[in-house]
Formats: sequence, structure tokens, C-alpha cells
Amino acid sequence: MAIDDERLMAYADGALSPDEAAEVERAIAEDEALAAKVAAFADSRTMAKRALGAAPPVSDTLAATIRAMAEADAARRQAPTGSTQVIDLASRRRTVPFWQLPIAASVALAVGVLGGWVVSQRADKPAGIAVAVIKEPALVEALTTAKSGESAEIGPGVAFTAIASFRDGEGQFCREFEQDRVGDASVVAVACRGDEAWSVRFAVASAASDETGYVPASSLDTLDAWLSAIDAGAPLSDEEEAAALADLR
Amino acid sequence: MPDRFSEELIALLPNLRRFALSLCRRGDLADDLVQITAERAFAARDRFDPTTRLDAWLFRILRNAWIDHTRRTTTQGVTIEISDAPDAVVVDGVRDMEAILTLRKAEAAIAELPDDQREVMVLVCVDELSYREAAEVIGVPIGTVMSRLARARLAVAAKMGIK
Repeated sequence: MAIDDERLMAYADGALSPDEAAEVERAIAEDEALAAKVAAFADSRTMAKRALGAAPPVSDTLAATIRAMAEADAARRQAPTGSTQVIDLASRRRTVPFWQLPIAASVALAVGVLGGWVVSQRADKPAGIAVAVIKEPALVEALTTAKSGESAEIGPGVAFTAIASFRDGEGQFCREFEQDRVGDASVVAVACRGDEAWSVRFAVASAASDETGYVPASSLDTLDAWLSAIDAGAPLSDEEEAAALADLR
Repeated sequence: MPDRFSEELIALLPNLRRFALSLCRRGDLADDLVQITAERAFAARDRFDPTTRLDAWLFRILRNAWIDHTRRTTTQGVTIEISDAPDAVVVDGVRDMEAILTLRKAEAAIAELPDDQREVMVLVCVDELSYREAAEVIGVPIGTVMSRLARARLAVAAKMGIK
């Protein structure tokens, strides 16, 4: 079978299992071009390591600033009252390349007004505002199958991007995602999985993306505050997420 | 008194700054990113899993800080060479000149890579993260890291005349 570049590289890096490595060795024994490529992968690594070498020391000013931070941190940790734990919510979010996050500065709260997400409506009694159960099949499908970082088209001109998965304080499986509709507001939302269905817990709509597609980090502050309030756990790893998604099927 | 976490963090500052330079290619901005990273790391240190690599965790924080920065500003500003310490290699006689030229060439080849490829090259080949650790730093699937890295290394090898 064909051996692709990635596998040759993994072989050169010693990242393959013995069986996989043996298979690559058999292939390169028969093909000089493959052997040369393995050498190129090995050499490029050595070159990079030597060329960039030991990182040059940082400036005294920077080193002093950070030593001061370390001292302050040590003092805070020794304080008898104990420091309140600060959770870095910004790094909770799995990083989606910024060009995939076209949100402009103006942010408006918009719970349950997303296209196709129907706020519970009944003719016989006043509906008021309720947590919206997601009924749109394409969205349900995307929530149940897309891995974090993946995008899917859930309708004409409507893109879905899974951002991260986590469990809330009660252990319920939740997903942060984004919906982008061409020429319309982008929506960052969190949906959690109940016994049977997904329901929207949080949604922030923002103005349509501008041409640059750059996002001010502050536009996600509201979400961070909310995540903190519901005691959201750390984002699930790829494996944990895959297992949780498999459980839904 | 600073503890082990702090000491290790301080020892990693040069690596953090080098990674920052590979992202932003500006010395002043690299310093800012390292400082923001340290602030966030101390604030979130209880969330660090000591069974994992501290450098990989810090790289991820630094990368998020970089993304925050790029979201805020669309202007790139003035860029400089990836290494702002070009004389870090000690010259030891004429016979080493060739080796030094080779390394300069390698450095230039790496600097010319597309940003996403240079980033994985630094993380894996220089800071010796595994593919998976690099994938977690960047927030992409491991297959993406491997394909970017393979392309980067073949490109560098080709520029260096390695076939």
C-alpha cells in the first residue's frame, strides 16, 4: 500500500508503533525515493533544532517583571484566607482559528431568536420566554456529530462550527458552537443535552461580520461570565468528546 | 518564595518568547505575549495538570493571547526576522563558517514558511512536542498538525538542497 508523507515523517520521528514501523521499513527497502524522503524528514528536524538552537535569554526587564509576578503569586497562595480560585475562562475555549470567528464588536443578547430555534410556543397558553428545545434536524445532527473545530453546513448559507464541549455543574453534556448566516448576525451559543433533546442555554448574537473578520476578544466576555456562573468544567479532550458523542447515538 | 511551578515557568521564558516570535515576528510584541502568558498562567495555575508538560500548557495560553491580539488589530506592523539574536551561534574559526552558513540558510528557510507551518515546525522540531501535544496547543486535529509539519519539513529540506 502507498505510504504517505505523514507516515514517513512519523517513522523518521520514531512516532510509529513497532508494527507500523516495520511496514514502513519494508516499503522503503524497496523504494529509494521513500528512503530519501525519510532522510529529508530527519535532516529537516536536525537543521531546525540546530538553527533555532537554544532560545536566546529574555530581556532583564521582562525576566524581572515575571519574577515579580511569581513573588506576588507565592504571597497570594500563602495568604491565610486562601486565594479565590481564578479560572482562566479564556483558555477554556478551544482555539478556533480567528478567521473562522467572524464576529464584529457590537454584541446583543438574543436568547431564542435564532433561525429555526423555536422558543416554546403553545396556542393555549402564553408562551413567555422558555428555554428553547432544538428541533431543527440539521442542527441536532451537527451537535451530535461534529467534533470541536469542525464546521458543517446546516442550511443554505448557514454554517455551523463546533467550538468546544464541556460538562456543566450537574454533569450535563454541553457544546459551545457558532452559527454564521451569510449577511446576518453570527451567533455564539451553548446547547446542553437533556434526556432526549438539545436545548439552547445561552446565545449571543453579534452584528454581521465585517470584511476583516476579526473579533474583539471582549465580545466573548459575556459567555465567559455565564460559563463561570454555571460552574462549567474544563473543555473535554478529543477522546472524552468522542466518547460523549458516541453515547448520544 | 517562588515554588517549582514558578521556577519552571521562569526557566521556560526563552522558549515562550521564541514561540511568540515564530507567531508574531516582533520582539516587542513577543515580550508582551510572554508577559500576558505568565499573568494568565499564574491566575490559572490550579488548572494545570502536573502530569502533562508545562511548556505545552504555556504555549497554548500564549497562542490564545496571540489570537486575542490578532482579533483586536488587523494591522500587522513592522516585522523583523524570526531570530532577533542573530549572533547566538558562536563563531569558532573558518572551518565552522560553512556550518554557520548552513544554519543561517535553515533559519531563513523556516522564516519563509507560511505561518501555520512555521508554528508546528517550532513546536515539534525545536521544542520537541509530540504531534498530539502540538495539536492541543494549536487546537486542531492531529492529522492537521502532521500534514502541516510534513509540508513544512519537505519545503525546508528542498530549500536546503536535501533531496
